[in-house]
Amino acid sequence: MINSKRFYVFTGKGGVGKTTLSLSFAKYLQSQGKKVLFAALEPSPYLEIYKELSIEFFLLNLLDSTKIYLSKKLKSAVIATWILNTPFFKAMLNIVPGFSYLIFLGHLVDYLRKDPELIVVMDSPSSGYVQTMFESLETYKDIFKTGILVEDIVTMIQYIYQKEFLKVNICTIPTMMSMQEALELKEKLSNLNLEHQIDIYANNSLIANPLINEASELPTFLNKKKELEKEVLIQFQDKIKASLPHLTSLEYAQIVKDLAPYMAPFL
Amino acid sequence: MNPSSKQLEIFCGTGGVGKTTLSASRAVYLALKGKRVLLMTIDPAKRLKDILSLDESLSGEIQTIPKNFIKDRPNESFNLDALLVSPLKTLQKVILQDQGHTQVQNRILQILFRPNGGMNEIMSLLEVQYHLNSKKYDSIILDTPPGKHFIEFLESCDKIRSFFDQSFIEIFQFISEKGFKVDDFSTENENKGKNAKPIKKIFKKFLSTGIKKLLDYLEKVTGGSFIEEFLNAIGIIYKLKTPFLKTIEFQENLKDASFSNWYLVTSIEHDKMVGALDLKKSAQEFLHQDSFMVINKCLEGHWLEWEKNYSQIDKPQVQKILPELNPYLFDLKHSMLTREIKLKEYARKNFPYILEFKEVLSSSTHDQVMELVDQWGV
Repeated sequence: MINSKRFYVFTGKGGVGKTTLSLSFAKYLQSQGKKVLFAALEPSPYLEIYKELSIEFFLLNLLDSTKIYLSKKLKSAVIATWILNTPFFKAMLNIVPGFSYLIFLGHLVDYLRKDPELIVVMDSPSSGYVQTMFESLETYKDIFKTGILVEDIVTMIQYIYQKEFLKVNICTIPTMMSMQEALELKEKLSNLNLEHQIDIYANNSLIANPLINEASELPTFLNKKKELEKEVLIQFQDKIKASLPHLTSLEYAQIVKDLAPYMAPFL
Repeated sequence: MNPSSKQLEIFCGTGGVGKTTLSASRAVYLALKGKRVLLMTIDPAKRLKDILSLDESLSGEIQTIPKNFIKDRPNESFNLDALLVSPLKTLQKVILQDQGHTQVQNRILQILFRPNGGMNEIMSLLEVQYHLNSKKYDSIILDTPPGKHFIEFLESCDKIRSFFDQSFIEIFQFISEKGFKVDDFSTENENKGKNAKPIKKIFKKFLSTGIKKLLDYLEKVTGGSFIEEFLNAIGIIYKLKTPFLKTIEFQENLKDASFSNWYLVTSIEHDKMVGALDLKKSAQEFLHQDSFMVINKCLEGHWLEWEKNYSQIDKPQVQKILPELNPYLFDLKHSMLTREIKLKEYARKNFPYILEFKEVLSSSTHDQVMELVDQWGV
């Protein structure tokens, strides 16, 4: 049985293939006999894909997660519902964004605690999200100072930062600008004590596809693309954990399946 | 590929499609045509600074793009300014006008006005208004963060509107009726013993039982100091209500085709069907006639050029592109072209205007921008 962590967060700038890679990683874990829960924010356009790939998923909905949390804390679902229905509270949730990320994290941590065999793979919406999510832990601990919420935040921090628990996988593509952004993001997250739990992966690489890499009769423009990619991969070679190949299937679910054998480096 | 220039041109789309490079190229293109242009980005990743070699420490301030950016292009005048929007700096500008100082000590506001804090959209609209009113520019080009689609941009304004709604009016009226100044709610003052009335006590005395009850429950969960700081934040924002509400009104201009161009950008590299469906849903609520679906990083033109060249070569080599002799290359071409053609067909069916931009193969972002400038002119 492979050694894995408990909580994997996939992040990276928009359009690099976070969702594809996180889904593929979930399939890989399944193939290794692991129990996996795939988490993403509502609404998700991938419902059919989750089902087609037989991936168990959980869509985070702010109001639902908040209601569950408040019900627990105030020991009453009725009160929690009442609070949530006040425009004041709804506006507060919307206006104070880090708050909602805390609630999502809390909900996922709950699942992880209840089932020690479970692994959560989270597909985050964008780079900024993950940064704010982890920063919120410290920020709100500071702001709340006392009360039930702080106790929960402190417990959450201890739980998440324990050894071999969390891994942040930054996805990027082999272009200069994307790589630089990935490095900037890694640096920002390192400032939150996560340095040893972050790796960068280059997706959609022409060179990582052996047929394209070895082909001798490619059109000039594709050769140029390969060249540009090579420059980037060489310049950043010690910063990239692994490269994923460009694949040619026209079916999204098929690409996810085809990538699964490449996913071991994401552990 | 030549939309007429408007006072405001907005580039939206999911991440990684090339919005920032495209919006920069549109700005350069218009500036080369003699327009006075301001290029604004509210992208927290500050990609624009890399493309135009801007100084990040000057975020929140206008920077002029030097003429040597366009190097050997013949041009008499080239007026292009750029602005990396910092929501916090914009807030400070507003507070300065209103209260004569720029201190933002409230921590909730500090978080809220960070680049990822959620106030990006409304603060950039504030900046757009401000610069349009200055009459310094013919055209403002706005590069938006990689939100799902442009409706999110507008929906963010609704968040602000709801903030100023009924449930808060009670609190706000209370603040102004009792003549409390924002300072009165400063927790700092409380610590110094000045005006030592804890806010929540004051509120509870005068507010309806509903809000009182709510604050009681919240306090159990979040602790009292958070509630105080939050009410303090509300107090500060309420003082700035006028410019915020003006901005929400200004938003209506965005629906006027004589005032703005909307560019909904997507690219061939993506799982386009998913993104395109999203765009369609949101676009229907809002499309005015000058909305352009932009398909970036197209390879079709490259493939066609290659095929043209190939057909001029003698027979034995031409056979190399036949599936039996080079199945992999055939498969690759088929897959790349099919994705592209499907996306373009979908776009044509659902949007009135489509702009296509060929992928620019260069490692220099400067060259990328300049080649895209040329594509606008075609």
